[in-house]
Parts: sequence; structure tokens; C-alpha cells
Amino acid sequence: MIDLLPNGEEQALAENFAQVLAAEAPLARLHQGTDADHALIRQLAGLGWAGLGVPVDRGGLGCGAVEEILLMREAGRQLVGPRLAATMLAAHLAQEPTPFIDGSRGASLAIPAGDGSWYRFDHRPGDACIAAGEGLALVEEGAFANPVASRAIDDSVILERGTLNAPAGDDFASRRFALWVAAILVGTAEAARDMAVAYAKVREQFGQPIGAFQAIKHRCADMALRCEAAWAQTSFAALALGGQRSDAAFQVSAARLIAGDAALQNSRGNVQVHGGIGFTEECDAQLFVRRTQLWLHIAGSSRAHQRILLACQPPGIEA
Amino acid sequence: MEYSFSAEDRAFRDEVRTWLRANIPIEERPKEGAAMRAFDTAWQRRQFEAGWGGIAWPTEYGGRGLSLMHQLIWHEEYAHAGAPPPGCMFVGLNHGGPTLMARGSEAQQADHVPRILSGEAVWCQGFSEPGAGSDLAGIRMRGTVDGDDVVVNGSKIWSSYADVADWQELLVRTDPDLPRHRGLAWVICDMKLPGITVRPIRTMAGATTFSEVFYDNVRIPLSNVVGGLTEGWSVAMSTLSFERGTAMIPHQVELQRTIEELIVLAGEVPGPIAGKRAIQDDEIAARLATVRAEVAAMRAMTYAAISRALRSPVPGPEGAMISLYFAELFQRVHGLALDILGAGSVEREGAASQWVYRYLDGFKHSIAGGTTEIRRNIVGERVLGLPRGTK
Repeated sequence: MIDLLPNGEEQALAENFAQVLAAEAPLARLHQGTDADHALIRQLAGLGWAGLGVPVDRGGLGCGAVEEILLMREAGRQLVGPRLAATMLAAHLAQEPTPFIDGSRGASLAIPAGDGSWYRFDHRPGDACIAAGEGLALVEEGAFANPVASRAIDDSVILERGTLNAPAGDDFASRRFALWVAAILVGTAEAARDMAVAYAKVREQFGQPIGAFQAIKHRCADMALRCEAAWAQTSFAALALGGQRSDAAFQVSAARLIAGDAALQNSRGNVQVHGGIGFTEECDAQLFVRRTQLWLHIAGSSRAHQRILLACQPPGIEA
Repeated sequence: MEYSFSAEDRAFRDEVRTWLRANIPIEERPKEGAAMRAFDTAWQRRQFEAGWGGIAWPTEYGGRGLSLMHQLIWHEEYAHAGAPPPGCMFVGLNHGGPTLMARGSEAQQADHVPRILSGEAVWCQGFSEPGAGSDLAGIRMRGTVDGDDVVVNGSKIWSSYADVADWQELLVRTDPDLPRHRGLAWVICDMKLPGITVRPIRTMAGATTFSEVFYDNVRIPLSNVVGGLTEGWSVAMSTLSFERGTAMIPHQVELQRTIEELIVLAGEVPGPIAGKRAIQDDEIAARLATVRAEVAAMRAMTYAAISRALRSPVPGPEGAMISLYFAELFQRVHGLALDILGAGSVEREGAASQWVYRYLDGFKHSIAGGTTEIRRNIVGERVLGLPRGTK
């Protein structure tokens, strides 16, 4: 059986994710400074979602990769920051997952800065830390040393630079994270598409809605096409990873590459469709660009995923 | 969401694979003319005799009536095995035949459908005109009723395989006073009728697989009109749901094979940096990785389309998305092939010849069956709900 669309249960869950996140994480929160998502993640933990994919015998909801990408997609739509994914990864990796699942503890995210030092996002005192470098590992707060406060490309994220001796880490967890980032980027691409399309229907110039002009219409059509490709591939990758298929690494890197392009092109295109207002800080369009630019360096850059893709055996026809 | 194959699916896959391996023609497919027709019809006949002639066609029309899942497996195995394309059988099998099944009379079906399936009858399409391309409803070629005949005068163009076809699905304007989409008839035209002249047109790839067709007082019996004298547009647009979602699979698998061949090629030919292979060039490597990801996404999109087809009997406008994606991906892949060949791509003999041919021939994918601009209009207006405007 091949079914790349959510079944009834998955669809109901996705709608629930969408409703809660749209209500609790409106984009307006991101115009109000840093650390916008700290309280949100406690709320989501209250619903059990921080342990969404964690097995039941470890205190989680026991769902799989498919349910996780459905949540990440909605988180991407509402531009939820790295703290949600980091805390959920911590729940997967911790010996004792309960504090991450019940919201009493969170996790920050650290990535290599490229020059030997590390960046850390959204750290709060008492957090654990997900070190996402070559592999992916859960480390204690103190592992990130010599923190110096900095400023992120995205104003709603707390950024520090420091040092970190990351342990070798877990490849499967890396792949899971890359899949989540792909789903987040798809959600972001879809929200940017929707925002551009909605504006193109109401903004009038030369006596008609600008969406009637092919220059705008075709730009929007391309946004829709990128979303279609990226979500289909991300869904297929979730099935590959969830089923522990041999082509999982290939499918996940393909998803991340396609979704990264979709989010970047769509968020940029959304600014362009909005014209002058799109260039302003008060318009949400800029939030999508800045958040996407952040995600593109988390869980592997596009170039890193291209290298993985070329090193993999290609999947067969019945993989 | 789910991706799994049952034991029965696997047994079917084995059966298909075994049959294809034993029966695929080993000789190279001629690219044009009578030799091509003989090759394509013989291959269709061989499939028909083994019961594979119309895998998606309903059993009451002699087809196999396969489920979407089995169609998928057939198409995947077919393309993976490198079986030849349907070629001049394409229009009959994928358009003429299915249209007759949907809208033809019993007599019309009995006359034509079995002969398409068995490879006896070759069909071509007569829709586009010199003045009606993307704006297909602008067809002006007249069909005037005179006694028991429709008398046709004018010309059609871009008619693939018209030079080797027996029959044509022909759209003519029967009533110029009705609104554009109303005054048309869909007619079964015998290509041997007096007054028909076929002039093959050479494509930019150097092949002559399509033609211009001229009609000089061609008398077609009224009994060949399908669905009524002013119903032509709706007949032409009637889509059958039995193969929804699976049509792009052969293209997708074929393109996946092409990309793998290209990766091998890039490991063999010299690259832009002296002493290194093409694949050692960062840009070429990045582009190869990207098209590998894109063709994987096209496969996933195909699966999503099949999933939609399984849920809803009504085809949505999403079909335009996948053909748009395919057209541009195909062209990127073959542009990359020429970049990998480097200066070697200037030569159309030897190893490079098939790449050069496919690069040039591939320009058709963003034009035929609706240009990519028209497909973007469909996505913009019918998927996203953007307003129609001054085109």
C-alpha cells in the first residue's frame, strides 16, 4: 500500500497541532524581542507533545516519525524556534526523559560555527544542550563553555558563541533532526506561499489584483510547486526513517535539500510579492527570511546534504 | 501514511519482471518513419498477446484493469527494465482509445478500441492549428455538414506520428456562431481519405516525429462524430480516472536512470580542472546531488498523486504540477549532461550523440501538452485560486 497522505487519525492530529500552534504562537509574538517561545514549549509539553515520538514505556506518546513531521510542519508555519526541536530531541536521547517530556526542563541547541567555536541558541539557566555537529549528542549545560552573548540574524532567537567538546554523537538522531528541520522548512515555505497568495488576491495595481498578472501568478505557482515537492519528499523520508529502511539517509538528505530551497525561495519571493511593505520590519514577510536563514545551518547545510546524497547508494525502485 | 508491499504485490512484481526480461526487444528502436511504426506496433502486439496490452484499460475493453498499485508496479518495472516507449502507439493507447471508451458509441468502440489495443491501428492527434496553440479553444478549421458527411478544410499542426498514423482524433469547428468552447466536434478521421496531405516537420533535434496536416474538402462520415456535433470540447477534455496519477511514473523512473548514468559518466570524463574527472568539480558534484534529490521528490510527488487518486474519483488540477516539475527537471538534467561532457558535447557522433539528442529533443517537454506557462496559469488559478486576468 502506498499512501503519502495523512490517514484519518494523522489528519486529526495535524489539525490539532495547527489549531493549538496558530492560537498559542501567533507570528505577532516574534515582533516583541527574543526568547519568544520559552513559555510556548512548556504549554506544548503540557499536552504531551514534547514526548510525541518517545516510546510509551519511556513516558512518551509513542508516535512515530510521521506524527513528528506533522508537528514540525505546523511549528515551521508559526516560525517556532529551535528550542522545541532541541527539547524533543533531548526527550529522545536522555537516560531519564521525564523532565523534558513534562516541561520542567528544556534544551538549547548548539551548532558548530565553522571556525572551531560553537553557537548556542535560546539557552536558559538549567537547560541541557543538544550539540548538533557531525553527529548529534545530548550534553550538560556546562559542556558549552566561555559563552559570549551575540546577536542572531533572527531577532527572536538568543545567540551566544562559546566552546564545546562534543562527543561523537548519534547518526540516527542526526537523521531524525535533519528530517524535522526539513518538515519545519516545508511549513515555513507553505506559510510564505499562503501569505504571498493572500496578498496577491487583495493588493490592486493597474486596476486589478496583482495576482492576475502572470509575473506574480507564476511566482506564486512556483511557490506551490516547491511546497508540493518538498512535502511529498519529506513524507516519504519520514516513512523511510520510521521503517528504518536502508535508503533513509538518502531520502532525508533529499528532503532537507528540497525543503531548504523551498523555504528560502518562497520566503524571499514573499517579500518581493509584498513590494515596499515587504521590506519593512512591521511586515511578517521578513521574519520568514530571517528564520529560514537560521534553519539552513542547523542539522547540516545544503552543501553537507549534497555531499551525503552523492555518497549514498541510490534507492532502488522498491526501496 | 504508508509505504509497503504485500506478498501478492511482490509476486506480481516478479511476474512482470520475468516477462519483461524475456520479451523486451533487443534491437534499437528506429527514431522515425515506417521502421519506427513497425517496431512500435510489433512491441504493442507482443504485449497484447501476453495480456499486457492495456494494463490500465477496463477488462470489458480487453484491458487488464489493474489496480493503481499494480499499474505503479508495472510502470516502475517497465521503465527500470529499459522497455521501449509506446512511441506511435501513445495517442491511441493514452488518449484516442480512452476517449472512445468514455464518449464513443458502441459501434465506434467496437470498430476502434480492439485494434488500438492489439497494435493494428495507429492514432495521431489533430488539435493544434497554426493559429491555435496554447489558446486551443481558438480552433478555426471548419467542418461543415453536407449530407451524411462533415466536410473539412484547413490545416492542423504539431501532429505527432501523423505520417505513420491510420486514424486521427480531429477537432473541427462546426458552428462558428456558438461560444468558442461550444461549436466544436471531435471526429474520428481516416488518414487515408482523399484530400489529406501530411507534411512531416523536422524538429530541432533533427527527427521528423511530428507533422503539419492539410485537409482539402475531406469528407468524413457523420457516423465518425463522437459525442455530438457541438460536444467536441467536452469530449476532448474528458479524462478517464482509471490511470490517474500513474502517467508520470515511466518518465520519473527513466529520468532516475538517466541521472545514475550521468553520475557514472561524470566519474569517467575529464572535468574543467586539468587532471581531474568531471565529478571532482564542486559545481558539477553539487548539481548532480541536487538532481538526484529532485528526481527523488518527483517520485514522492507521484506517490502523492496516486494517494489522491485512491481517495477521490475526481481528478484535481495537481496533475499540472507534476508535469511542470518533470519538464524543467528533465531539461536541467540534460543541460547538466552537456556541461559534464564539456567540449565533447559539440560532437554528435559516438558516446555523446544520445546525450546531445536528448538535450535537444527535451525542449519539447516544456511546450507539448500545454506550455509550462499555461501549466503555471493552471496552478495559479485552479490550485491557488488567483484571479484570471488579462493574459
